[in-house]
Amino acid sequence: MVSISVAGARKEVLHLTKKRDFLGAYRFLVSNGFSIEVNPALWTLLARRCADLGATTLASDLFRALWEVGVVTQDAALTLANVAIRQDNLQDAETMLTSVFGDYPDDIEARLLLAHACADDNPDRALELIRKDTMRRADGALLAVDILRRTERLEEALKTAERVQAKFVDDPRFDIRIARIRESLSDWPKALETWEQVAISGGTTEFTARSNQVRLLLRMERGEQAQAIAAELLRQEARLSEKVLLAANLGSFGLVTSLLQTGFLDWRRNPNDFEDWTEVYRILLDHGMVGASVWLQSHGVPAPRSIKDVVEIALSDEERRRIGRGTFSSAITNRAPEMFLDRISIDRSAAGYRPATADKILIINATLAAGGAERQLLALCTAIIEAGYDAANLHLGFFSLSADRGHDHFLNELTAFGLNIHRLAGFGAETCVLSEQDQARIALFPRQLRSDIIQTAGLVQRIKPNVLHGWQDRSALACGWVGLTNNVDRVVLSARNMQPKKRGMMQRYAAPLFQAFNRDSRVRLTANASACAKDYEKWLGLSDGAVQTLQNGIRTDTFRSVLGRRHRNRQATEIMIGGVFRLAANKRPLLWLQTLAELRAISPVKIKARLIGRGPFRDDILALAKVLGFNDLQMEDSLNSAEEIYGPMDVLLLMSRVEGLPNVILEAHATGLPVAACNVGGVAEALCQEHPSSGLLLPSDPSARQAAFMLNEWLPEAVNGAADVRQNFVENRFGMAALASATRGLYGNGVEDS
Amino acid sequence: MTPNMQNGVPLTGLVCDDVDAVAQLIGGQLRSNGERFVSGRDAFTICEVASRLIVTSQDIFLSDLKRFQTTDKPVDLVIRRPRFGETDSDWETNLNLIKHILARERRPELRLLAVTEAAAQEIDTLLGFPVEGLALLPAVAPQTSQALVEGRIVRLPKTSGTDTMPLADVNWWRLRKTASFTCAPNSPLDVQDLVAFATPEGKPEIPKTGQSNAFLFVVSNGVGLGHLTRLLAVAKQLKGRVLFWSYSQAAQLIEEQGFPVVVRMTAEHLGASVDSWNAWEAADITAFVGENSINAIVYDGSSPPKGILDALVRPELGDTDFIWLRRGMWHQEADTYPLSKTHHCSLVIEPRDLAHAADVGPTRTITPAHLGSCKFLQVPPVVATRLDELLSRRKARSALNHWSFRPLCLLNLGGESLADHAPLLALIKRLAAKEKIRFLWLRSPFSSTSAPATGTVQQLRKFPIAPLLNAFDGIITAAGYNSFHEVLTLSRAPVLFAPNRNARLDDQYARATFAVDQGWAQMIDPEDVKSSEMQIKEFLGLVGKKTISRDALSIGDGASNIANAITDFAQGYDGDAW
Repeated sequence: MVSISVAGARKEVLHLTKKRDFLGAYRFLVSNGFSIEVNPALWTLLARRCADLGATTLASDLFRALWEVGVVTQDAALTLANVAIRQDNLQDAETMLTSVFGDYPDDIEARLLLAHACADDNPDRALELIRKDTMRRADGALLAVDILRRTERLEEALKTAERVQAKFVDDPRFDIRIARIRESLSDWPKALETWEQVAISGGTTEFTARSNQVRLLLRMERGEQAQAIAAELLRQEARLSEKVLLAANLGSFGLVTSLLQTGFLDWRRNPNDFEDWTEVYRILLDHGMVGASVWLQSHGVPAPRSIKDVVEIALSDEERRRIGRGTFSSAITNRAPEMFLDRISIDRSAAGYRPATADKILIINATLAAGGAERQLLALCTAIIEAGYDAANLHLGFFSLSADRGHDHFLNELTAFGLNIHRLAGFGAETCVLSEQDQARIALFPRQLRSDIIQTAGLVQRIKPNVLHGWQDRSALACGWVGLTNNVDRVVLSARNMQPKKRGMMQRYAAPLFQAFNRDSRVRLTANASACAKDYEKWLGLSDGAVQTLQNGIRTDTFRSVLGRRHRNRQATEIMIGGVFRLAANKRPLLWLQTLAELRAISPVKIKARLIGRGPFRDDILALAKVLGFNDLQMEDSLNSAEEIYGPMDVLLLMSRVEGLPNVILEAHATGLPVAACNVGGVAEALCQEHPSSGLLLPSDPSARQAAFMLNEWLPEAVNGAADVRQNFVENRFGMAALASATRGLYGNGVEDS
Repeated sequence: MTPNMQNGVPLTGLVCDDVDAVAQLIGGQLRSNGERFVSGRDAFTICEVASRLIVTSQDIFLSDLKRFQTTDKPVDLVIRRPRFGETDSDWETNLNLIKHILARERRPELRLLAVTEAAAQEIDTLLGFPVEGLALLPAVAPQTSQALVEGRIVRLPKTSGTDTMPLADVNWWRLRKTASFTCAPNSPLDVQDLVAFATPEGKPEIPKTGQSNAFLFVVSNGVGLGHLTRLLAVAKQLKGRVLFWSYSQAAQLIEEQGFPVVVRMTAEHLGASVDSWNAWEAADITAFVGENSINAIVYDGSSPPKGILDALVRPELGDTDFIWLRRGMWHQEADTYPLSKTHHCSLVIEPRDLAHAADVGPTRTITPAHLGSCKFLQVPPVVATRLDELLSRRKARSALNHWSFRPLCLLNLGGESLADHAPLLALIKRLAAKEKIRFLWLRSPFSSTSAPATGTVQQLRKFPIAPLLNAFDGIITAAGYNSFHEVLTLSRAPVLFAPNRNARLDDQYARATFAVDQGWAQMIDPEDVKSSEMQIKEFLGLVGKKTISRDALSIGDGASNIANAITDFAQGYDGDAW
């Protein structure tokens, strides 16, 4: 054998790795006698080249070998930790770094990597590691911001990002973080401005920034503006992944499909942008587009190893072959979770089955924000605990309880009951037991559903409830899947509004999932108004009565006391009309204001307006008020006490386009107020119509003038009507006793027995 | 192909999805107007070659916006109303995108179209730009049937019951020649538009069918030469231009018979993935059919290649029928999957089998889930050689260089990949030597192996062998369709069948058993050599001493019947005749 010098070997390793012949370089070192113990530098070089050029698995193996023979240099340890973090082997990275650099490395690079490695499990330690000097570096500051975001310390994250952004004005990543944090904090107008700043700063992030504006504008229900930006973006040269994400954000499945086909044909001519396709595959995965992913893989478009592995475990060879052999148009119809619905074991045999006990109840909801649905969750807990159920056996789980996002609005009141509150964010894949195949299938679900199911499954497996209750659509979908795959005795899935489609919140998979769940005799579907129940039945193609009504409940005593004070304050020469709703398109806030402007023009008494609520239409309302000359419009973001909210009002007006059973009508009636509202959803059920003065049912879609005329006719009678008729109506129909009784029927005897 | 022109005629590019009813119908219209076109989803390639573009959906337009907005060629954009799986809000979103794009920049060469006038009016109103309906298609007559589009299924009422086919497998231009379309209530608006477009009201016109009278015969890569033999027999009888598309190694034999042949490689030959190969085949056959104005593709084989079936929904093949020559006598346990392809066919022709009465296989017993508009026809058995084409005994022996008076036998063991012939060969060699009988062992012209057969059993590579059958005093043969029918109808020599049990679909054993029961021949089990010895001895005892009269087996001319059927079918769509 010709003896080769170390320098020569080094040159050869560089040469072979440049050609991406990593195994060739490996064989070269072995066959020429360069052992790892004697020549660790050569092996470290090879490992680093592998890591740098994307052969991370081989790099990881080589570093492990270096580690095992105890020849890892600090430099190599950094590279190894980097590789491990990229491969999501955070524990390995942490072990490596602490053993080479100690628990608190002096080396800034090592400290940053260590912070990365422990950020999930121990965010406080990670933040501690990112000391002042590390924060001077952009990546250190970004990591700190990201850790704060992940732990939902959003206000602190925002302040940190804004503070350090000044130091890195040319780095758009800070503005991007700021925009995202503002979105999370529901400060959408400012988030939009920040995205605009990112966009006009130019560079490669412009498309991303504009695309995020599109997404945000759609959330703000400004479709026209969103589409105008999107149209401009489609005219631009951009990476396929950027356009696919834009189309997915627009909700246009047809455009996503067509972009993929065009992208595939371009790739066949010029197959080189692997990174772009990696991102495309990630987007497909996040949207449950399994068929598209399988088809592209079977036609040679390279997919990241992690996605290939998941698909191979989740789908049989035959399933993959079948999808791959069909046309793209047929392949894309294979979407998760719909394609896995047959994997839920539906139990039809237990017709009429009722659980003997409701020993443990677990209710899941997205948040405890200051909304009607959350208020009703509080009411239900109150009702069943007052009816004698042991609070210690009542568990509530929430996907977010972030104080900064206002997701903990009712937390104190619920905690006071002594029931068990669980933050689902702490439940990851490692906390629940799933077969490898089930885990892989769930990994193919759309991102939010995937995460909701995993978190819910973790809690369900720990608590083992007899009754699992998904409180709103989002949590109901997760609870349906988890309840049936974990053999929970009774699964209650609740709707609190009209069908999602009517609210512009349609998730394409929602209907097939609910339909599948409903086939199991352990499942009960409920809605909070009979109009909503019928609407869900129609949407899901179910028979009459398939969705039960579980009406809202209200503690009327809190509201009754408002009445006396109001009567003392009211002046006969003016009428204060109030609105209490989120300032969103579904509530038609602009129509509400236009109606009052019309009413003001024809009413013999002075009409004053008071609007309480937050939301994306705030600026539009203020602008319209200016145009209409409604300069005395009173606007309040949020008020807590019933007296503050309803005390100054003479009439409540609600002009929503879509509603469930509105709490606000019940509350207003409970204070004795007359209410006028459009006849949508469960409004007619909530509105007291026992006397014409109690409630005015407006048409579902009136013009401002029409509504104003009707109001003008009705108001004199309404403001002088008997308050107790309204109060008694609410007490009799929506009192806590009625709610407790209805819940007993759903949950089983346990509630009663307790 | 010269860019933008084909044979001196401007070329239209249809940019459309893999399966697109609008493209199929526009393609048919272009063809009937004598215009040339290419179609496909690849806008880049089509832009290169076409002089004008028709984009058949707004999704395609938006996905490749820059290309369509910057090309200097005229672009017709067909804006569709909501399609299957497309929500109203999806549709509105895409329409609004188009609106914003046009508001910013409207190229004068961009024309907006909708499938129908009603759709055009609605879209015009929503867009605020002028939208025209597509030019009306010529009405057709006689439409003897009605195609009901219901969800993703098309129902075609037959005299008894209803036959269905998946919507994705329908070529609307082809189907509208025999059926008028309707759709179920609440069908997506796009389906309603398509139905209205495909079934225009007005004075019926006789449909123009292909004018070239050209046929493409597809030869599968079968085990033996049976498929090729039948196709050649039909091709010789057919009045028209016959071209061969051959996956078989037998291209040379086809050329020798005077037919042009396109030699194709299978995925296996190429070591390619089946999916990719199917896509290439679909693209190539689409282009070939388009360029050669093929009236019908005639396939003989057990399972039509997916690439060809995929091509049938391409706009280029709207005037091309797919005809499957499919013999019966499949094993009872045979894979029935190929039968699920029946609905792709316009016509399935079954050459009858002399052993038809013994056929209990899937082609007799299984009704595929979908039959579509497929017609069925049975014809007499196909024998490639007519009696008057047989050489006299003297001439035949001379052709085989057999100058002696010694008895001469034919040994034809069929597809050589199916069985190990060595034990049987050894036995025959031993017994033939004892009886002083010479055997000619017929090998495939493409057989690469040369077995050590010498002395009394010598190898013969000859195609076709049938004209020489008078040379033989006895025949031992496998019971494949062609051999079976040739020896029983053309020869008077004693026949001993050695049916091959390993044939994938063909139930040779049932066929041979039937012949024995009828007293037409004897049989052995070629895999049970020990128990066959007595029967072979007995057979050899008859050789040269006895002739068998099988005059009752006058079977007619199947090939000629098939040729006539193909011609009739391709020239007109008088559905009642079928």
